[in-house]
This record gives sequence, structure tokens and C-alpha cells, in this order.
Amino acid sequence: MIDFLRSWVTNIAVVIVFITLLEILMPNGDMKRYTKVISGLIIILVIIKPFMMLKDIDKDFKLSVFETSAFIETNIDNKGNDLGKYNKSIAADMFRDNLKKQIVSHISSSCDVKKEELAVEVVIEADAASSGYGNLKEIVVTVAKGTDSSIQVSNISQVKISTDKKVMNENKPEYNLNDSKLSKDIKSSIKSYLGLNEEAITVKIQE
Amino acid sequence: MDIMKITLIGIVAAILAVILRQYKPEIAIHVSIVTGLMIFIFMLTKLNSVITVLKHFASKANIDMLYFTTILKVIAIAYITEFGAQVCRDAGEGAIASKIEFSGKILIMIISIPILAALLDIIVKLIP
Repeated sequence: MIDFLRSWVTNIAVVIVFITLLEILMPNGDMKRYTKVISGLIIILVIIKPFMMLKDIDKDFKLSVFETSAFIETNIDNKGNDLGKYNKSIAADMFRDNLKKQIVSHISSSCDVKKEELAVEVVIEADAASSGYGNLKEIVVTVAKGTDSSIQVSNISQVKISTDKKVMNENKPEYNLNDSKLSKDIKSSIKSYLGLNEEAITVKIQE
Repeated sequence: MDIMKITLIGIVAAILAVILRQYKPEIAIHVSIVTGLMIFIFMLTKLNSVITVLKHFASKANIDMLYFTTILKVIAIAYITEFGAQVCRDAGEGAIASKIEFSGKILIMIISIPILAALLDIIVKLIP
């Protein structure tokens, strides 16, 4: 609670100082009133931020901003088909990039892989005319292991052979020749995260 | 001493324009437009560095880039509009100047309406 209050108060203070700074930059004259309206709106937004978090409409807010701006942009000229297509391709690119980032951060948080080692390729339906526009087709995750170039010799801990338990020690590297556990982990985490078929996910591990 | 340069350019151009106006008024207008452009472009490069610093500062302070870019766009539109309108007004074309200002206002509105609409949306959603 205190943390949240602190961040809220600092945010308000920073934004107000920031807008005061920017107000020096603003031109004099008639246009100043208009710029002031916008800065006022932004201050209001910063102040009501806790209420936005209350109902988790923060995401809705951004969505509606994009929706409205897209609506305005596509309506600017009646012959805006080209513009619309262009916007759609930009939207597809943005969607793909955001998805990549999300997948990378999700994998790095749920599996034992660093962000730098991951490369994600996402194939989506890019044909705007088809009905499944924007659907995910395929995800290829490439893990480039050992990019930090130091070859580590894994310590083999004392091997105990017990007869009563049949435990496959999955986490030990010697059982993991092709990193099959890692790729399985990544696959299942993407599957549960995005609700995708496992056939559409490919994991490549490079040593 | 950039301010010296700019002031000197301005004073020289003003004297030139005043002298030229008696003989050839149309060339005096050219002089004033070119001077305005020179100073504007000269300052634009400086403004660029200020904005880069502000951008860095904004990303450090965790301000949402959506808001930041909106404010910057509005300021840029306001500047350009003001500049164009003043040049036209100097040339004695008050009507064109007011049209430029009008279009600038509409463009600012187009940028700000998404935020306004989203704000209204929030207000409507907050009240159950």
C-alpha cells in the first residue's frame, strides 16, 4: 500500500514538473490554450490512475485510445483503403513484435533460460482478406545456450543408487542430453500461456 | 553565443526589410520570410537535443510514452502552425493565416480526442 502510494505521488509530482518544463517550450499566442488542454488531460489521467487500477481498466484505456485513433485515421478520407491496409500491416507487425516480447519474457520467467539466449519467430496469418486474419500459425523458439562463452563443467554429485524409489533426476544435465526437458518445459509453458496446439510450437536448442 | 547570432540576423534583416519596403515591398516580405525560416531551422536543431533529453528523462521517470508523444506532437503542431500563420500574417494575408491556425487546431483535436474519449470511457465505466 505504502509502495503504491509512493509511486502514485512521485508520478504526479514528476508529471507536473515535466509538464511545467514543457510549457516553457510551448509557443505563445493562440495555440497555447490548446496545448494546455492536452497537458491538463494528462495530469487528470495521472491523478485518477488508482481508480483505473481498481477495476483493471488500465488495459481497456489503452485499447480504447488505439481504437479511437484508428477510427479517426481510417475515417479521415473516404478513399482511405490504402491507409487502412497500411495501418493493418503496421498493426500486424506491432502485434507480432509484442507477442515475441511477451513470449520471451514469459519463457524467461517460467523456465531456466535467460532472455538474451532466446530468439522467437512468430508466424501469423498476415492476409488481411482471410477470415482468420491475425491468427497464430507457428511459433519457433530458438535457445542459443552458452552465449556467455564460458564452458562449464558440471559437477556430478555423489550418485546414490536406491532400490526403493524410481526417480529420474530430470534436472541433472547428464539426463538431459538434448535438453529435452527444457524444450518440453518451454513448449508446455507456451501452450498454457497462449492456448496453442503443441504441433505449432517448435523449440530448437543450440549449444 | 547563439543568441548574439540570432539577434544580429534579426536586426540586420529588420533594417534590410525596412529599407527595402520603400522601394520594393514584395522583396521586403521575402527577406522577412527567409529570416524567419533561418531562425526557425537554427533553433529546431537545438530543440531536437532538448527533446532527446526530455525523452530520456521521461523514460527514466516511467512516464507512459503514449502521453509523452502526444504532448510532443501537440507542441510540434502548435509551433509549426504558429510559424506558418505568422509568416502569412507578415505578408499581409490574414485570411490564410487564420486558415492555417484553424487546421492546426483541428489536427491538435484529432490527436487529443482519443485520450479524451478514453477518459470519458473510464468515467462511464467507473460508475457502476
